[in-house]
Amino acid sequence: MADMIKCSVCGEINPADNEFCKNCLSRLQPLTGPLKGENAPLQPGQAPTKKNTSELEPILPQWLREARQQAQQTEGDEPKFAAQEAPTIPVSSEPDLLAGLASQSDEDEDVPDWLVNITGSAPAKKKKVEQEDSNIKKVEMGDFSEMPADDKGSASPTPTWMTPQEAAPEKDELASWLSEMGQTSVPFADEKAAPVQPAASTPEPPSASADQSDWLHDLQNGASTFDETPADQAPISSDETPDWLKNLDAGVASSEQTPAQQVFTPQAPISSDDTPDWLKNLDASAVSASQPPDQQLPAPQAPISSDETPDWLKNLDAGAVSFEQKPAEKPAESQPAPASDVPDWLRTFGEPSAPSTPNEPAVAQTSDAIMPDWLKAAAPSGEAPQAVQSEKSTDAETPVAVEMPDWLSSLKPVETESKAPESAAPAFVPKESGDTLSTAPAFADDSLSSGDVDAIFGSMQMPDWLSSAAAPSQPPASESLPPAAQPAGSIAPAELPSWVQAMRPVEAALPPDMSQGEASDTGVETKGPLAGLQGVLPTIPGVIKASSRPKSHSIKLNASEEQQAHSALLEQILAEETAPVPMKSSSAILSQRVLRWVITALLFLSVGGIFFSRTQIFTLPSRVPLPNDETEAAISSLDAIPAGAPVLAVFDYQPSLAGELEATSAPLFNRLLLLKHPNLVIVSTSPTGSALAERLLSTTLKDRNYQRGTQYVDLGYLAGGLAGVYDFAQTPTTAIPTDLWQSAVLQGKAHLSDFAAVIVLTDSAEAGRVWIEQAGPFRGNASFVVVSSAQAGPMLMPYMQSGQINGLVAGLNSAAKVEQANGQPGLTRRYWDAYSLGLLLAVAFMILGGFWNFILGLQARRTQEVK
Amino acid sequence: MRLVAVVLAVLSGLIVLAGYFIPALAGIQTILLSWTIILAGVATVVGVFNLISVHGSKITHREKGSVYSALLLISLFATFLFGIGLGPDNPNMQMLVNAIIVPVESTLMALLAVTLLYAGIRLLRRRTDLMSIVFLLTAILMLFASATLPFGEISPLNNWIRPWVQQVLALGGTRGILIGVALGTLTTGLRVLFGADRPYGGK
Repeated sequence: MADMIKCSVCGEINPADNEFCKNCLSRLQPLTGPLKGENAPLQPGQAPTKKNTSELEPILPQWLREARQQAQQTEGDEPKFAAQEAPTIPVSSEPDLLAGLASQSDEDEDVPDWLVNITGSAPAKKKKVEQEDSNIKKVEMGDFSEMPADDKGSASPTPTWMTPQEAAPEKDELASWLSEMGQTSVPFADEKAAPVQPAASTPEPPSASADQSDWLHDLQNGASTFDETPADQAPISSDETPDWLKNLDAGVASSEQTPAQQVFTPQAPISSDDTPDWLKNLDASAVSASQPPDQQLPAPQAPISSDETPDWLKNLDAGAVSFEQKPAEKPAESQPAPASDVPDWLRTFGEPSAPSTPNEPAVAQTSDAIMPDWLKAAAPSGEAPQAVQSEKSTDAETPVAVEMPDWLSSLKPVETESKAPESAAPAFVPKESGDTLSTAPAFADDSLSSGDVDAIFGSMQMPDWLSSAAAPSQPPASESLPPAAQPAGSIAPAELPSWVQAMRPVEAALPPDMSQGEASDTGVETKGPLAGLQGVLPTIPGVIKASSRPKSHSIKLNASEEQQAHSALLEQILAEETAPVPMKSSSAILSQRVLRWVITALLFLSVGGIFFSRTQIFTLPSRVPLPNDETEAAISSLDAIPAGAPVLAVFDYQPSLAGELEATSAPLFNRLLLLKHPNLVIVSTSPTGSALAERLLSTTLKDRNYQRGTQYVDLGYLAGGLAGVYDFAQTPTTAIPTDLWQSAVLQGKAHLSDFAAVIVLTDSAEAGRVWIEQAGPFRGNASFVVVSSAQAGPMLMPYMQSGQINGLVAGLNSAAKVEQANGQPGLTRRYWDAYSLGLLLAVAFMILGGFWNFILGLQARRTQEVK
Repeated sequence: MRLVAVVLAVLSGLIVLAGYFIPALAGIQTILLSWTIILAGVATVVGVFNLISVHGSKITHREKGSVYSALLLISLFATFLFGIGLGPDNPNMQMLVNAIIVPVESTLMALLAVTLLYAGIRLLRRRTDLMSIVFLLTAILMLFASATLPFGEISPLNNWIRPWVQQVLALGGTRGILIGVALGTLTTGLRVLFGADRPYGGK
């Protein structure tokens, strides 16, 4: 779909060439193109770029152009305005911008009442700027029908502001700026203004606002100067000053009557072709408004009946007239209603004031009826005539209708947060002091303080009614803007002229209560590209509060008590499965170690002590000659061997039991060696046997002084275990092939039976059994005596009972018997006390410990049974 | 190969056994027994070599306790060299035996005394029954009967109870053990002779 545009409001498809939507009549084409270069929007901190007004010609809105044309056509009316006013324009070098207005006398019906009231004779309909909600700067262009009508009955088509009515001279600002306009150069145009006559030092009226702009002050001075001069004098003579402004100067000078007051007397009507009619009418109204109450202009001149006068302006005249008819009827509030001469739409841009009186609604309604549509849309409903500024509109979209001029719309919410002191209320806010000047608030905007406005407009010499648009001190009274006044979003931004740009209070004082939550939305943006706009969402994180928080849902399971109990039980079961079982054996291990150490210590101390003490306390066991006593048999058998006979001695015990065996064998070998002097033949089936034999002979039996090679021989190690014993028993010479068999000890001995006795020394029953079983059949008549440890004795006793051996000496107890038989104390006697004490201690430990553990065992068993 | 081993083992056993009953086979029996003695001696040497190898490996791989392995090997070689060089009757060799071998082994045997005594004390806690009590009482009796008191021996106990226990109770049990051992040895021999058991390897 080429060349088609979709309406952003209704969605209707329109041709690309259409400027307005054919369905909803909203604008399709932007008024201006994108701003580029020098036409880029003004950034904060930047100084407004001065532009020639002629350069802005192409971007002027259509309505403005038409107004200009009308003004040009009605050029002839200008002298009328000038004639109506008292031409008392003083001759001054400074251009009297309001000369045209000054020429409009009371006779001039075209002088609007509001203008008259501006000069100080405005009725008491001024409202004090309310500061309920500060920092809101709006251009209230509400529907005049909703505005309180000043006079409900007044249905006069003639705008009230055009009717000469007494206006409460409360507001001097309008007169002041009008007067100043006659003195200073033209602030609106960049053209070089003619030198303005120095304004006479007119003392400001006492009721003048302290916040009057400088340019307004200048106007006052100029106007006062003009007052002194004949009104016929031409005001501004500069060719560069626009005619309408010149006329304004003349009007100011001519209408000036009270030097002490700011006078805004437009002398001559606007005659410039560039001056729009509405502005001409403003001149006339200002003249009438600036007049003191007692000198108020008569009924306004004939209203501008020219067909070229826009209707809204006509309506304003009627509204102003109705306002003028209601002087000072405002309650003694802070801000009374603005002057009745002030057009309603103009009042709406002034300070807001609460319409507490019934007149206000009536006025509002009347004013609404005469207010042009575009102004209606821009002005707040019902409050416009009384400076609807009392409304507290928080929208950034101030009541700017669709058709509202851009320059007017830009004036509204520049700064909504700056508080304007009440004294700096819009120009048309009447004062309670009773000033003659009564002004109607032109703009109900409370975003900017008048001081700020003055600061801005001071250098620009803006008309008061325009500056009041930036004076915000009063919050809007009540009503919000009508929906129609809300920007539909289809208004395209226009290129702002330099003076409008300058009006943007970028550097203006920030509203003091910007941090207020309530005002945050209504604050004016001061930073970034959106500077000057109202109601901009803050970009600072954290400032924006979520309009609605997400609902917080509980994540807790809806489980009953029984279910929770079951889950807890399951968790307990699972925990027990993985929980390690504590070990409880540390105490038991500790007690065992302690007991062992105690036993060791007692045995060591007792046995060692009694041994090294060589005591002989304990008696030796008695020798009872029993028939089958194995010890007695051993003694007997060895006593029967012949002297010097070879005796085979087998040393088959381990070094660990060498002490017991030596103690056990020593008495027997002492007896044998002492009595029989045999030739010993030593053999062993263990590798250490020979060494042990040597030990015995060299230590225990050293007294016998047996010599190796002559009294004993050592055959060495007999390998083969049982087989070797068997082989040795069969043929000893082959089992151990050595030359010793040829020695004197073994001369002629080749068999086991050749030995007189075989003495086997062993610590184990196995070794003894082997020698008994293997060598027994081959011993012949040789005695076979076994000397063993006490642990092997019982195992070898059967062999004694069977007659396979001839004697058995087992343990120290038997050795003691042998030693008793010998009659000489020996090693056994030395060991006997320690041996006996050790045995007795062992018995004691076993009895006591056994009993104790027996009790503990029973208890443990009973505990186990109970569990 | 396994059959040959079995045949040889069985045949050898039978010959040796028959040599006890058949005098003609006595010579073969003696030869076989001689070979047995030689093999037993060689087995001892092989055992020594195996001991050296095991402990040497532990030392090489620096396993836990390799220090003790090193001490063992050092002691082994030193004793071997001393024994071969000095002889068993050398006073230095005697000193080695008397100062190291006998005391070390005697010390280990002495620990046994404490251990057995501790076991006797805790016997009834571990096993509280009649046999345990009888066993403990018997042991106490015998120990007590083996020793004498300072004021003299208890004659009935030393001369009558203890001998009766030894020669009747102990002897009877001993005989039973010995008969059981004999029978077991016979059975094991027969099993080897019949090839039921093959300790020499194979099925």
